[in-house]
Amino acid sequence: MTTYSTSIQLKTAMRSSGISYILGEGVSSREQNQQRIESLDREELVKRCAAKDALAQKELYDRYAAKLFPICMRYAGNKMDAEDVLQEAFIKIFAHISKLKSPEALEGWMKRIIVNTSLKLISKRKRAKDSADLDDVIEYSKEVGPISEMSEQEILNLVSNLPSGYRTVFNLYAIEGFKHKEIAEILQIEESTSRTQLLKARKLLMKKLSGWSRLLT
Amino acid sequence: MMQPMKQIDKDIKNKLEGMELAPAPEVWQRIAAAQAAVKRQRRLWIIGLSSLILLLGVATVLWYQSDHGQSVSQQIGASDALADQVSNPSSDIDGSVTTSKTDAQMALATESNETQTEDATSFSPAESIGSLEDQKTAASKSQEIDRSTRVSVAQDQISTTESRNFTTDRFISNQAGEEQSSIRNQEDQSLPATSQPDNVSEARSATPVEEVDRTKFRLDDMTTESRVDIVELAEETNAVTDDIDYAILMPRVDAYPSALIASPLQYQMSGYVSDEARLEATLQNMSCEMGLFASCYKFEPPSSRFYVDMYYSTNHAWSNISSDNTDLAEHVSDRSASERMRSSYGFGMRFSSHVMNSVMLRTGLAYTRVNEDFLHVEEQVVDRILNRIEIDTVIDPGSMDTLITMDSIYTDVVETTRYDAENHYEFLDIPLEIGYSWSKRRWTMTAYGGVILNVAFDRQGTILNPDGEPIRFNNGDIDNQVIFRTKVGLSLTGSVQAAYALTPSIDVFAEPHMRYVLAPINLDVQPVDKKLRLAGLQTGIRFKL
Repeated sequence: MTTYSTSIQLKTAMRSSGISYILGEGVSSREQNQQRIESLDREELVKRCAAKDALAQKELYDRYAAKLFPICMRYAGNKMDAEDVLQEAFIKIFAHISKLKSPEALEGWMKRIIVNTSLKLISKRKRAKDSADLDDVIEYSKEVGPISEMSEQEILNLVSNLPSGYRTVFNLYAIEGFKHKEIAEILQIEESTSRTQLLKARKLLMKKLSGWSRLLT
Repeated sequence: MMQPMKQIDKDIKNKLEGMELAPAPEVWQRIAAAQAAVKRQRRLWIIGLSSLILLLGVATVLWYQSDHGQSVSQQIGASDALADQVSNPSSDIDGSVTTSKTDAQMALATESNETQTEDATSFSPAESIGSLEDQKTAASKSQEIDRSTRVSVAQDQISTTESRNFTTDRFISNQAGEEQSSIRNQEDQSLPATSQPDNVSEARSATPVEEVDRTKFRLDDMTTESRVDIVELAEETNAVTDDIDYAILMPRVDAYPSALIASPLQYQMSGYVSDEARLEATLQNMSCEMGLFASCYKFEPPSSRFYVDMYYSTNHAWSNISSDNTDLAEHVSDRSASERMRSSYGFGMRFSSHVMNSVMLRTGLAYTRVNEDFLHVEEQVVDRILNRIEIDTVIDPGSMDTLITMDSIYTDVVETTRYDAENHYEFLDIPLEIGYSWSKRRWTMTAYGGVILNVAFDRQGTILNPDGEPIRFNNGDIDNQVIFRTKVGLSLTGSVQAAYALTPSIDVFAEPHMRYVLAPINLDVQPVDKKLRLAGLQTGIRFKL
């Protein structure tokens, strides 16, 4: 990457002194294209993707896949399903990016597609029944709270390992900011079920966090 | 307990929101493979559609040709002989008439007027059909002239004492024509019928694939929580909240599509009104101002600048036959009467590109076929036959003299020769046009104007020469006369294209168009000029590249 940008700068400098042709041979046209794509701003990148430019699509994926993949993980619960969601979502993104009018909203728009695709996957697999038996969930303790000491990956694992129904409601409520009424509509469940699932998700998280707390001490 | 729980929610959210985690490299490979498959599918679809249009075009050509073939099968006359006969039709006519005339004479000589028709018709059907079959066989390799010879008999009564004219004209030996018609009808049954032939848009654009629209909520129907939000919004904008019955909402930029239907909180306030009548009026105004209708798909002028059109066109042509030589006025009149334009067609492929924002250039390749009927009828009295003599005796009551009257009844043998042919003119053209386009939502209107450069002109058929005789013309075969140009040069053209976006990359369009061929299509040495004009409707598909 650095080499490319250096090359461009040097080339520009040499051009101004009228000897640009000397350096032209060092960089292949493919690499030049790659450089150009990498330097594109978001608006231009969206335009190129809308025009089905394969290099631009790859660049869009490279820029955003790592940000979007954790969302897939949160909803899907395991890596394999998360990758399926990411794949399906990016195919949708490339198919419909021409309809995105304001490129500023690109990230939010992609996140929504990821969430929708994840919810679709969950709905397909009908895992909502796999609720855990919470009878033995320990009582909430104010002492739990090692979140700040945990890594992002550990938190993600914690959330991903929740049973599917809890996980979905927790994600929609705690992270996406939906109300229970909205979640009930989205997931086609009772509002009270959404509240219960959230409560159980929280209790389970508490239990796991307590475990962490004990481990740490 | 609730508060720490919410704190945990918040902590988890904060931790996860900015998290990055790279997926496995295989994911991109799978996406790339899926994209390639989509491209292949799209290409196949385009090829399929193109093939369909091409097939339609070819089928139409074949259909016209089959129609033409049918016409050929009905032609009468020997090909080689006809080459001479066409230029000198009298020799052939004489021969044909002789047979018919003989039949007529025989019938007339033996039967009364009323039965003559039947007898004469029944007299020689075998011969007539045989004769027709021979003629048809000969015609299969012949030129496009349909010549049916009819003999009509008119009764004249000539009286020695008084003139009594019978006005009864009767076609008695129309058998050749009738048999021919009957054969033609049978053929017709087995063949196809003869043809006659903005800021608001930001909110909209942020919504993804799902369709969203402005919507209305009656506050009473909302949850308490939603209602509070709406009322707060209203108060912020100094609305009198007591008067608010309805809230008009737009989807929020960050709204989740699947939640749009579910909750008014996924919308942002666009307006509020106090009664239903005002609500409808407000919604109507909003729709007009914001261009909000059923869909939120983006069909703005696309980023693509190149387009490929494939179209089929149904046309009608008009010809104008004229001459500077006033001596040829009668010939011009005969030509105009004998050449009648029929419906025609065309198809083609065009490429267009934006050269400026709304200005477009267009070129391509187009095929156009203009069809024309040639029909010329000649009538000639070729003989007069004495039918019978009626003798009557009248006694003058005054002088009691006996007056004998004698009426001679003659029959005129009138020969009708009918020349029936199909002419066609085929153009292969390159259009060079400039257009101005404007778009509104899914619709794009483009007005085009320019010239059409003819690169090939094919023609075939029959016309009258200045002597009133039918002559064949085609592309310059040795037995035929070269009358028309090999290229007709420039034409002026104008059209208005209305395109509707089916998808962001495919439009369907309809385009009324006209064409005026600047120069006469005949050679300069010809005494009479023929000019063509065309108008029609093109329909097709436009691919945005």
